[in-house]
Amino acid sequence: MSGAVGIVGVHQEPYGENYSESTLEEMVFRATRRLLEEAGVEREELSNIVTASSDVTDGRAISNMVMAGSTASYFKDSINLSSASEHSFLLAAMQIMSGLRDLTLAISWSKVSESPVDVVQRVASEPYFTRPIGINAMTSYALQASAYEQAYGPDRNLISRVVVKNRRNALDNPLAHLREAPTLEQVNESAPLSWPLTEYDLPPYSDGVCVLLLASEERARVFDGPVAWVRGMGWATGGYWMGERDLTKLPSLEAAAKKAYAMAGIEDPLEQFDAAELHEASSYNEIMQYEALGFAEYGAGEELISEGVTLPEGKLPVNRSGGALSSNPAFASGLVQVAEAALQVTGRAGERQVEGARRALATAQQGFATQGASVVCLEGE
Amino acid sequence: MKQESLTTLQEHWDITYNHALGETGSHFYNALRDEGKILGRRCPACERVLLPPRPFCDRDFVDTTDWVEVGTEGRVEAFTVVFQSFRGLPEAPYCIAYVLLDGADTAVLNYVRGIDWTPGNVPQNIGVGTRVKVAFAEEREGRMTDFWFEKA
Amino acid sequence: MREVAIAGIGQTKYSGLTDQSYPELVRAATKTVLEDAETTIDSVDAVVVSMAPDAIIGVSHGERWIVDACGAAGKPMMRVHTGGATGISAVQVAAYHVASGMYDTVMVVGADRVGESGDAQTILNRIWDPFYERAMPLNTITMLAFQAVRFMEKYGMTEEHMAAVSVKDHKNGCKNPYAHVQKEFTVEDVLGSRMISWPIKLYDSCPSSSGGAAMILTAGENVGRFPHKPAYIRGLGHASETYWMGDRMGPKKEVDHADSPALTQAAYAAYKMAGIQDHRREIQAWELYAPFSNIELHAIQDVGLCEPDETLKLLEDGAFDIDGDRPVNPSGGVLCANPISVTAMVRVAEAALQVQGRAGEHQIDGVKTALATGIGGDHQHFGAVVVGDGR
Ligand SMILES: [Zn+2]
Repeated sequence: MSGAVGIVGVHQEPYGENYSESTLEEMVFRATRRLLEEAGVEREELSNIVTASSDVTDGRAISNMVMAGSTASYFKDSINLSSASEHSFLLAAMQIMSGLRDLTLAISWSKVSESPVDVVQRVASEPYFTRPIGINAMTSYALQASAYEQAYGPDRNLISRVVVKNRRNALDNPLAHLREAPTLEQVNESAPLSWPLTEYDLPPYSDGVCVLLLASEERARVFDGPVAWVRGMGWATGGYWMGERDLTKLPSLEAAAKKAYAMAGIEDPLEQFDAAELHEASSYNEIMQYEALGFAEYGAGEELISEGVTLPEGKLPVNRSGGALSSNPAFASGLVQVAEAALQVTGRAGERQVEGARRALATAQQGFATQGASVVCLEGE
Repeated sequence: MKQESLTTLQEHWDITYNHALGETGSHFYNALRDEGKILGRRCPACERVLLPPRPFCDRDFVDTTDWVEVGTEGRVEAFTVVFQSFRGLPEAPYCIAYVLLDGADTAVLNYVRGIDWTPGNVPQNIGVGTRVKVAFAEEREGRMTDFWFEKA
Repeated sequence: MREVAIAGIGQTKYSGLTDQSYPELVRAATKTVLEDAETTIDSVDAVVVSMAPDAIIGVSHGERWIVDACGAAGKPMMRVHTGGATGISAVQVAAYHVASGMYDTVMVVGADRVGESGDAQTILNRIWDPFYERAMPLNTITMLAFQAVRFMEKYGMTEEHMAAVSVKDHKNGCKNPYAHVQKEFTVEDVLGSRMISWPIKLYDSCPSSSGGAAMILTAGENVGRFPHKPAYIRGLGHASETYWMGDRMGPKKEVDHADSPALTQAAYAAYKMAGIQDHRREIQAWELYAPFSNIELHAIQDVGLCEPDETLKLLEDGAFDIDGDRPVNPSGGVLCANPISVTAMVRVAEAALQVQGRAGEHQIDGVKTALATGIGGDHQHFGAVVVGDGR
């Protein structure tokens, strides 16, 4: 790895049902402005900006166009990615590693309240074979959960306890969208939406914006606050066709983790990480991530729940923020996990802080049934 | 062997969005609809009156602070006359122009109506610098099409 | 910075045909670049997808759909989208993959099928702010007609000057086997062509093209593994302007819609990174993104190829012709092919072909360094890449 990269600023607006009081552009401007104020950085000092956005979610065919003003891009190098929100972070880090940029914003947003989510997701399926079937995030993750169910027959109580854990964690996160926790009984008894997934097994849809400030080692030294250093990162995509993939596993997440762990020198993730923020697309999916990330053998992910390993007081607290099951600004969710991991290793996570967290892991997923995934390893000082 | 014909699949996207206008946009459209006024927003840093009104100035990256009513006459800064119709857009020909209304510091886009367009007479009938005035629709509904420009 | 070299270039023939599906076009571009680099997809460590508004192909996040077509399954993949600048932004993103040390060999690939949607200009109306401007029939043609009107006012450009650009580029396009439009026009033909959005006429305009393009970038230390004389990415620049076109007018404007200071900023950043001091002397070929004839003229002066008051005179003197002393768009440029998602990538590819001496009939003698540019958004996002034969 070339030059070291540090995260020196994080700003998230509270995730919520509907930011009806402001336009999308205004919402993103405010978050960006506040990050710069909190970090004590003038817009002129930024070397560049990387945004990540989803045109169809935004209802703007080139969504970084009107948004240029909101993202501090006026007369700045500003590149936009549309594959995943956390890709903005990954590109910003690579730009700094190359030595060509040194103080970079990574920004992503979603104002899903303005669009019909099901239709927006449906036009993301190709028109010839899958669109007529009505594939969307819910049905794709239900197919994944169903495949896992068939392969390993996990204990439904343990699946439900993932929901209870994350939703309880959200009570400590003032930014979380859903801040009341269901009981195990409520989760177990909720009606199926797309078998085997029930309402509680799936994330809500939230409006929100997430902004990170990345700096080169030299620039990071100038900041007073603690720095979250990027130690490893990896990302990978799988093939488009779900019928060709092994839906009982998350191969793209495994590939991403392999690369990130190699960079960061991680051999035993369960021992070496102190906290993890996993972008769980469903309750089942969190258990499946434990396996793909090497926390447990295939089919044994539920043991981390039964043994309390991923509870706040466990050995590796997972989704101390409440995770996507509590706040899910759709396209922007991946970047949120990176932000939360950065807060953990810098000791800035407030009530949701994992005591003494020095190394944290963040994951993100995109596409139908985890087509693509990313892994970021961070370390504090 | 029989030649197989290649086929197509017709798909139509039908997505309805409800874009929040926010305080700034809502106030602008309410004033336009109810009072027939065109309002800009002033940036405290560069002191430009921004029209269309925006809650923040992208140049200075600060919030705009106050409302300024702008004039109903102005100067054409850029224009085009469109002679080709596109599906989903109006029937050609029509003229659209960016006009710097008196009292505003940025130009606003709208139709220029009341001129007979044929391809040969464009530069004779309108140019950068042409003075125009705002005409308001009698029935206003709080949209940009509540007003347009005509030659002054 | 770690050296980044161009190891392969692939283009399909651009056309108005719609007989291939979008993934098939991506597949064709991928195959072509792998053949050109005499390698296989196994040697590609990461993929960057160059994809502009996905509504044009009718699949949202269409990058996920074409993973199999471009061989990205199991690999890192990112999609870049900066409107018309997408292709040149994507090359830059791929260059960062290599320059950072994260990956050694990266493929950047894309395609477009502008004929897929009969509503391209309706889709392109949806790029505008939904609150104030979308109610007006703005599209990519009208926004650049505004530029033409202001450029006429500021610099004295006439419809004849625009026609002369079109004549020059179409003449060059006849020498480029990949060009969509391969037909020569006279000034009279252009002036007599159908008026679309005054002063832009049919023959001042780019076609709606289908086709794909791809490039393989690799670390400088790997160039020996690939067959061609290497071309190096020596300079990168990117800059954005305000979205609001109306802010680029009036006495308090900071920039004029006639000009693009952000293009100047991007180009000079690229010169600086490349260590170029006298770009007019050190650069011998210019591939400047210009979907309408008027745009080429402002791009010429905004990248500093001449002083603003010289542009029209130099055009009249033939300085920008393929055999002139400042040749612009020897490939025929965007006026001869505009597969939107990859158009700006093709500018970099053509600059590289010139540097490698592989441009065939439109080769300019002795090109050591070339500039490529791209423009996206509402004449708002600008990218520049300097390609050179040395390190
Ligand atoms: Zn200002």
